[in-house]
Amino acid sequence: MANLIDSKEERTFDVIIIGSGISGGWAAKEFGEKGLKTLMLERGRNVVHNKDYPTTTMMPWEFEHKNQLTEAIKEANPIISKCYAFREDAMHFFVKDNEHPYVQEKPFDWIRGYQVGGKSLMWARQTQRWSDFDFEGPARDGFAVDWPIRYADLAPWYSYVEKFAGISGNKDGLAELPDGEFLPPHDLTCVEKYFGETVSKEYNKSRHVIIGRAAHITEPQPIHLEQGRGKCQGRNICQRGCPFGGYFSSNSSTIPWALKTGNVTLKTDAVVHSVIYDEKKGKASGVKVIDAKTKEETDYYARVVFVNAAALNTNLILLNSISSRFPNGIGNDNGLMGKYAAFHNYRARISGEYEGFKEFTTDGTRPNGGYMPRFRNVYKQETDFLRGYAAGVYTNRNSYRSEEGLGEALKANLLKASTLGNWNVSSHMMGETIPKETNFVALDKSKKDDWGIPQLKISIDYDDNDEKMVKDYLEQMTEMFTKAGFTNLQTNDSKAAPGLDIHEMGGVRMGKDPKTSLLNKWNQLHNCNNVFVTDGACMTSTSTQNPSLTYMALTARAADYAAKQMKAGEL
Amino acid sequence: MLASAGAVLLPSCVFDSKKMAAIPLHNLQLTGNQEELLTEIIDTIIPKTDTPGAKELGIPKFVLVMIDDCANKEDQALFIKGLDGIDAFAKEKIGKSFVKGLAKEREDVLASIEAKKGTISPEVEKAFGSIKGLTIWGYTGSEYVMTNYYKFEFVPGRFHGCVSVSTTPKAA
Repeated sequence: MANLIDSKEERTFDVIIIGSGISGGWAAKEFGEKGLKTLMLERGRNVVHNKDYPTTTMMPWEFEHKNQLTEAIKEANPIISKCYAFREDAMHFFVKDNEHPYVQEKPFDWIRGYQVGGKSLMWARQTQRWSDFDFEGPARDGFAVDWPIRYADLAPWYSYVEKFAGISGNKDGLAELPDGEFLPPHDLTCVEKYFGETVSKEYNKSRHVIIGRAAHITEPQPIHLEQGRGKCQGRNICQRGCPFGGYFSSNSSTIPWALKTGNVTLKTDAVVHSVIYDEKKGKASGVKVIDAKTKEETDYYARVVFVNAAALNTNLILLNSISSRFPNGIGNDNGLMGKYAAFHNYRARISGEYEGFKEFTTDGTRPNGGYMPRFRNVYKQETDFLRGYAAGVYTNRNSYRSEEGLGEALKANLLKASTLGNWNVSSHMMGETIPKETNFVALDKSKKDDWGIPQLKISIDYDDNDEKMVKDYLEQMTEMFTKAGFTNLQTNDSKAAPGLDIHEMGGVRMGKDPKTSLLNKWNQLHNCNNVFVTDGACMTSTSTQNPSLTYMALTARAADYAAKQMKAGEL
Repeated sequence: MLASAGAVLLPSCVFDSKKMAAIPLHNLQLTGNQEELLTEIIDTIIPKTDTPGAKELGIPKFVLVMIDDCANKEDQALFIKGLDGIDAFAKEKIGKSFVKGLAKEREDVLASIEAKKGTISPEVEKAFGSIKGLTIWGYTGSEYVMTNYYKFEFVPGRFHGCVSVSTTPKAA
């Protein structure tokens, strides 16, 4: 038994980080830089930047099924096959359905990436800041609990992570979507600009179309070159891993940086069973790990534990961390752990065409799109539903070739330069959902996984507020598209189950009061302050923004606080 | 497995009517004759001229792999039925099996299937539609066409959101 051979000292660290995804990577970087002996645990295999991107240089014609899924894969994986990025070129980065089953009390498509880097390898790279309209939402509108922090608490940390990660964007000067430390923005198309001008005029400057702020290095700074990362080449096949390090991932950025400090140990195939609670000391003393392959159990010890296992798995680990002091999961005195989970509503889409700007087209490829910040209920409540939605806006010039004929005639048609058609215009919603006690995750009472850990039971659904929002989005977008002269409008409500947004959040929410929340303003468990949660599980509400940037900023901020407290002997 | 047994046959035996298709298949039960028929249909859709045709570019294999791996069982059954239907249609039209037809005759058979859309058997129509669609997909997605005709750029390195159509260099 390795346990008996290894000395406990060799298994003792200053900090243990559970998870190597977008937030865990940041924790490792911060603690490594601060000189703290850090252990980073990852349940999956290692994925080394560049070395382990098997498809990244494959040409489109080299994929046997032209990047489509086979029937056999779809049949074996009805859940993950629904994910837009689960295709021949990147399916090796996603958890297959039969590998890690979970219990769907209500339909929930849980999309996971169990490897070093987690989902930061395949994420959509949109990085919009939150504003106080988001942080003050729950208090103003009377749902969930008040956030214990405001924009001012996080703003310097947004700047801090943006500079290192490399975020492109335009300084738009919008109160509802604060500007950041931007590298040059990607271009909007002529039609996106025109659409933005139209809605600004039609809605008295209350609606905006901007270029998405995205984690792409459009102009490398010395800090990016130092990471070995270069300029984004706009290949737009990021989900395969980028040989240029053009987009931010833990693999290309924070993890190699952390390892370079010499203070961080990365352990893969390390399935975390639970956080260990020391009843005598009254705090967490480490984590119990099960080897993914040998199933051997080993305990690791540390003064501080950061739980960054991805939102729902963080809930699972904490709920499974049982002790006499915490029979319902570590830090869970109020019984709220796992509850008030929420997500983003991506159900509705609209598409159409525009006959203008026929003399213009686009050139090159853009790994980004247009973005409409939330315009509903921003300054005051004005609709019959709470909160609102942001919208992605994409346009491109349609081009086609005739496929008429056979033989030589068909061949000639196919080899001709394509004919440009109308502009395609489309949009999808990103709706804020209201965290509720009835939307929860819990440990299943009987089903266990292959490591003897209870399976997660997920019970999350839409509500009336979401239905109203879908309706409003489609009405408003139809109105705006119509005002812009877009035609042939098609609207669609996919009715997709929650989960495919891959923005699940909450369950271990931050708050001011230990009676109604689990974490304090520094992301520490109220009742066990050497355990920090800085991934999606900590989110009190969801806003409409893609959440990863906020996880990064929260993590860097919490790590800074933890390190100072450790130095001061408080932790 | 019957399908993979065909893979070890010598090339001269590939289209033996009693043998299975030469391309290793996972799901489809395709005879050597049916495989030859499919190959010739595909090569009639995109024949060799002064530039390579579908056969030379490996498109028949792509079409078969896609139907074998990416079509559901029901569509696969219809496809086989439709493929046989195309040959029956050829026999009626030109008095011989499709593969025995001259290039012009073959093209006439397929052209008349296209022209009779809506009035011929749905399996034939569907099978021909699938074959033509996949052939075009395979051809236009081939390295030859993408690099020589469509100026495919794997590393574009730029995006301009609004350029004049007349000055745009790209053909794709």
